[in-house]
Amino acid sequence: MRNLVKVERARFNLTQAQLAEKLNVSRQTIHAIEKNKFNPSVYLALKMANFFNVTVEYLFIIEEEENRVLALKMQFKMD
Amino acid sequence: MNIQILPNWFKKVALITFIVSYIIVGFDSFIDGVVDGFIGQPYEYSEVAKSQRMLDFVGSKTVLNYLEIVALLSIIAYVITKEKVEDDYIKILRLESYQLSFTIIIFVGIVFILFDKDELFGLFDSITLFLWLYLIIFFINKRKD
Repeated sequence: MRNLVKVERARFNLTQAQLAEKLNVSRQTIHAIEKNKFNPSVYLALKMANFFNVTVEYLFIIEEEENRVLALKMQFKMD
Repeated sequence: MNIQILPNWFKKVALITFIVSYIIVGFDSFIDGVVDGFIGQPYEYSEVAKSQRMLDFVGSKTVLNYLEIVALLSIIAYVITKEKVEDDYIKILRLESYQLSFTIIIFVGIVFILFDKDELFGLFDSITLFLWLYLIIFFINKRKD
């Protein structure tokens, strides 16, 4: 699973520690999520999405889904 | 099941208790070494010297044994103390650290069962080693991110 947490964090001009404090998690958790080493719980994912004012689907992307979308796009272009 | 039952501020208390008790026990071992060094080879003489010095220093050997237990209890207290922020990722790190330290201690135990004929490595040492390993591995896991 890929995510756009780092991008959104940069958009909000926050450090990992600041974001961690706002979401009430540890800085290590934010780092692990950004590095795709840890998939957050549904609760944390929703909390993050709410904080960044985006949808969970936008913030967290399943790579299989991404590949499927890419394949569909390619197919659409070829057609 | 969550065994992190002590509040975060307890870490400082546990650390101070551990350092104080361990310094006293360590100082005793240091004196043992110095006495052994002065006396040289004869084992019996050094034992006599040790018991004599222990009486001077802390009263009796029992006090030192209690202090060792206090030191061990403070490490246990440190281990069961909560982090500043307890979340799922910290729990995973903790679990991984327990897993790795348990595996290492099993291997060390097997090696000592096979090769330690004098049974120098006892239960007390195993528990202490396990707790230290856990704390070190958990610390490294947390810091590497």
